Amino acid sequence: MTHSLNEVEALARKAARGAGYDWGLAEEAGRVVRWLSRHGLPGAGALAMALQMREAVTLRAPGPDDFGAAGQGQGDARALCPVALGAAIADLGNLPEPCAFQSVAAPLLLLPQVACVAARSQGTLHLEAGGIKLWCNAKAAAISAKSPLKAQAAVLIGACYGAWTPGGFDASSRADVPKDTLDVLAAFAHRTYAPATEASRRAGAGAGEEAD
Amino acid sequence: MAEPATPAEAPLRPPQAVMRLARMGAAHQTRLSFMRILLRRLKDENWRFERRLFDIGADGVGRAVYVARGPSHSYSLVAFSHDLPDEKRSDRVIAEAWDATFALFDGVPDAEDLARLERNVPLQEAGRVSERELCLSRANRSARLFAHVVDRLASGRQPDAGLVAEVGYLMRTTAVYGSGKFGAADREVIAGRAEFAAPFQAEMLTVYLIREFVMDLVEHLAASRAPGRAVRLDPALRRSFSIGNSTGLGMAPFLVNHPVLLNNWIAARERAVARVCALEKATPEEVAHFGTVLKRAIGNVALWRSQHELQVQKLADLGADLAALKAKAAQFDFHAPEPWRRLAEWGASAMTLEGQEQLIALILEPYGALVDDLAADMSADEEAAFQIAGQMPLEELSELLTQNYDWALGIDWAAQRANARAWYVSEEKLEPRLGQRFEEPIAQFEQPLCPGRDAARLEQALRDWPGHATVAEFLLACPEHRHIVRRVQITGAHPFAEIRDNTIDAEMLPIDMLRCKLAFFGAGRFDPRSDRWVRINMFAGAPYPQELGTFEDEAWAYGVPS
Repeated sequence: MTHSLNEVEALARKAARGAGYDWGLAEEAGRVVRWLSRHGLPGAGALAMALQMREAVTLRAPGPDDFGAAGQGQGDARALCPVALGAAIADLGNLPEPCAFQSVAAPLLLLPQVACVAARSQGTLHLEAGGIKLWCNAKAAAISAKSPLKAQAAVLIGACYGAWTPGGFDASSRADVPKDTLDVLAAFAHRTYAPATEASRRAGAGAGEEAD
Repeated sequence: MAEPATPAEAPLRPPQAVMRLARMGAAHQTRLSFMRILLRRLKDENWRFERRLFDIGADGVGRAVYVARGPSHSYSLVAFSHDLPDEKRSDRVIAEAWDATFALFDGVPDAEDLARLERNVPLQEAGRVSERELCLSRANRSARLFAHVVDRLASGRQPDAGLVAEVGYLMRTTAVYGSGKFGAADREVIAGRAEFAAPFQAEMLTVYLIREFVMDLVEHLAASRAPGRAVRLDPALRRSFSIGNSTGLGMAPFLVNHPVLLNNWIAARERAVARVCALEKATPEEVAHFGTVLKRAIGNVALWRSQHELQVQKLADLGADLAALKAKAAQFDFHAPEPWRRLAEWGASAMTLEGQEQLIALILEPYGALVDDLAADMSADEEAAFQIAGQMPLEELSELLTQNYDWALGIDWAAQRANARAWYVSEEKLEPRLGQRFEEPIAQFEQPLCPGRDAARLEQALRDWPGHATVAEFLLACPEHRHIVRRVQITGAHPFAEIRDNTIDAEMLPIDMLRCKLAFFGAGRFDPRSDRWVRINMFAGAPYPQELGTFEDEAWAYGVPS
């Protein structure tokens, strides 16, 4: 059974919110998972991994120092949160050169945001994370491995001037999400739903029962 | 060859006026409503319709397939008709059984497709559909009218015209899902097809074909009961039937969740009005056309019923407004320059919101050649607008806030009344609800559907930041404002993107949001059943598929002329 991209985006957004992200970042998580799914990449799995790490308090949010030359997050063993870091990368636009991060959780989640920056700069950006390489520009992307799910890795992002061939993934109009990943995301998403009470059923809901 | 010139446009009505909930809640269908866009295309492109399968027993149980063939694609309504006990008939989205269930199939289904759909479509939310399906829907019979019509036809008589006018429909849909819901195709799968370029065209096609099915169904049931004696519906009466729809809160968040789309709908309508208002003169034919449609609008109001206190008042207002408009039009100087602008200005000073919004719909009617092309601008590239402009200096963001959220910055958010409500999603069937923030434990589940309050919080936070700092720097430190920063930036290029009213105020009426959206669909006879759900008619007065080719009444949406 496959899911529509809308379904997987909505699930990812709700799961991120359920995991504790503010709505604006939860929306980014949804878009990122949609982009990856459209490219046949395991975006939902990467998000599930990141949310579980967030739950285990092994993630930290990025700060201004992470984009400077000076030591980033020194003394902090936790990996950077890919949802917040990806959003910050997309917001910054002009990345410092080179742009390096010692440890990022589920780094696949950065790719759509890096692609977004590449699209705006009209160039090609290159992202390297734990032995996996990604390239992207306004129109295309490439990936060097089929199952690029890394729990965490050092990440290097920079301009790419060499030759590369788009591909390495299967573009898709559907998301094919493994059951265990769906279960993880659904459990986080469930936290966004208010328990139903008879009062809310009566007072808060939409259409009524009366006949016509 | 020169490009066709863009028609002149008078200044648009300001978003400060257009985007208030009270005015949105007085919206009427126009030439740019999605049902009318659809039927224009079906007619212009000479679409062909075929009832490919109608395998329904005398008990009303079975299945049917209706195929619509366009220039490049065919679509099929697959209908399953059920035997639903009366006590199970509910308009609630949490219902689990319906009189009929439907899917719009991309192409023509084969036996295997039908078998798959039969296992899933009757279950609705509890089933799964696939990328071959564009929409999923269901409908219930009208308790008052359905049996009456079958009985009358079976006894060789026509149904009671008064009852038909009062109820308006034989079945009402309680949901029409599209855009990837429950596994259906995403919008981008079909957005590149000309017939689906305008918003909600697949959904409107689904409802249009459901209407055809329902009319066939009642005539079939009558004929099965009394072969030889039963008669078919009188064609004029038949055309007056709509498909009803019962819409609850679930639809209200849509307008907030799709700000660029909302902007593009409103902007297209407002530009159409501005084009007509810019006309230097009107021909006698155009003035006569306006007069004819005005007369039909008056007839429509006379037949429009509601028990709801607020709507009863609005209908009285609208009736009085249209009577005043008729009198004004009779002695109006249509020869002086810019007649429509002057008439609209008079309307804005002399009529209630209901009348004003009806008037702007009416002045578009004679001018299809001038305004119908704006339908092409009503879709949205939401992906492009999603991107935050991180390099924007905060002083620029503050300017946008001041410019587009002044209505929110002036609200006393410390007052309970201003925060009285919270939008949330219930665990049960994932149904959107609106609760009382200070009386129910729901605040932690609140959905981001209160841009006004969020804008005020953003404005407060920005006071601590220098104006030359960038949005990127701000959001790195304050990610909790990311959602509203995105919205504020969207309003920069999309002035009609935001409802300019407090969506969590104690007095806020969700039916205003519903009415705005449903008017853009092309619905009529809005009949609120409470402050948060409304019944409407769809396609009342519209030609049936086989009549489209020869049907010339472009103003069908004002109802069958009396």
